[in-house]
Amino acid sequence: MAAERDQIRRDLVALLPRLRRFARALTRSADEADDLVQNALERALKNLGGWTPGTRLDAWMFRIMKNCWIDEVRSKAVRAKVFAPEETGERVGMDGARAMEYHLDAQLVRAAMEELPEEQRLAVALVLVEGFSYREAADLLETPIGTLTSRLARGRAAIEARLTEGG
Amino acid sequence: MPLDDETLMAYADGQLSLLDAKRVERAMAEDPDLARRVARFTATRRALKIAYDDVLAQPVPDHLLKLLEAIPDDHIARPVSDIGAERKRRAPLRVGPPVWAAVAASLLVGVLFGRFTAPAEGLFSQDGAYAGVSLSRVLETQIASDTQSPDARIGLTFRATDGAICRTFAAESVSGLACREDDAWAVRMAVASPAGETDYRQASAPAPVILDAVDAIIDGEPFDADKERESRANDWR
Repeated sequence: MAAERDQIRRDLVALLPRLRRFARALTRSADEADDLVQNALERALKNLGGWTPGTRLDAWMFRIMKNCWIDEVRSKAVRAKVFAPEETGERVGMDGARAMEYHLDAQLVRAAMEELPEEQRLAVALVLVEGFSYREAADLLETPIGTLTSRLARGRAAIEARLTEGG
Repeated sequence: MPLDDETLMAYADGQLSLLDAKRVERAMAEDPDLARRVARFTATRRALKIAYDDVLAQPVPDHLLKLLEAIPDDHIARPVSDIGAERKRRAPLRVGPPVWAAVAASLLVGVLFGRFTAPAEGLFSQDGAYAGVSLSRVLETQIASDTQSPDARIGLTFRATDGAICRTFAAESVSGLACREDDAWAVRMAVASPAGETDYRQASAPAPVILDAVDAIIDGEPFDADKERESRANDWR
């Protein structure tokens, strides 16, 4: 089984940069992000039997990280602050010809991400940062695809509003 | 297909079918406002990439790499065909049937009759003691190496020390072990499948608790595909 173990190890090591990027998109600092990666890896290593060889390791691993993050957010009792009502972002109009010249400042984008409600941030991070398809992201979050796209649209509108303000 | 914002967003994210994408492109050619709206979605997409992609280029901290250096052997799912090695690797059970009986009894009472009679309807008989119509069909017809039924998947087939042929199965919410009794399949064990992170249709190895049960009652080795077919032809006797 040594070969199999080595293979999983190699696959997880190869995933680490993406895991760190995803974690960074969810959290507020690089340190918090690496703590999240560590927790997710520890949880994954305890549950390696839960991964089915031949299925996508990345989707499995990202789902574990998503669960870890939600657990952390909840255990920190910041629920009231992070869980904004579903309408958040709706006041931000999706139409209207607004300036497209964003101030493409990474800091600004990150600040805008931090303000998003948890569900919207997950949708934006999976699709726009990590490049999962809508279908894959919806499966990973265990939500209907319509819910995923509406969270993505709201999160995106809120970020866009911040960028146009800031630019 | 209405060209609402969600459609335009899906286009910008490359999520539309080729046909729908062509329609959006035709519409955009005629309507500069549509093109502008699409460009906004493309711009947010690019902004997000720019904001986080630098993480990819950063070196991974050592403590994270170290975590992955020692993955314990027994945490890795094995293909079913490795059952022989699996059994040799596991510590031999000192007491067989009593342990097995106790495990089975507690699981049957606590799990099967408790939570799983309702959601697993169709898989089991009313009292949960026997396979229902859909599970029976799978148990009678499926060969583990063939394309598997969407209702349930067959894992191991073997002869138990009491002479009955037994098969492990995995369905969406429950997996377990059933043995042939006269013309029916008696469900000897049923446990909840881990929700979410396992796709039962592709699960390659029975849950450890089921493997333990197999260990306790198996006589000889698990059947290979030929032996499975032979047993099926012989009505699982």
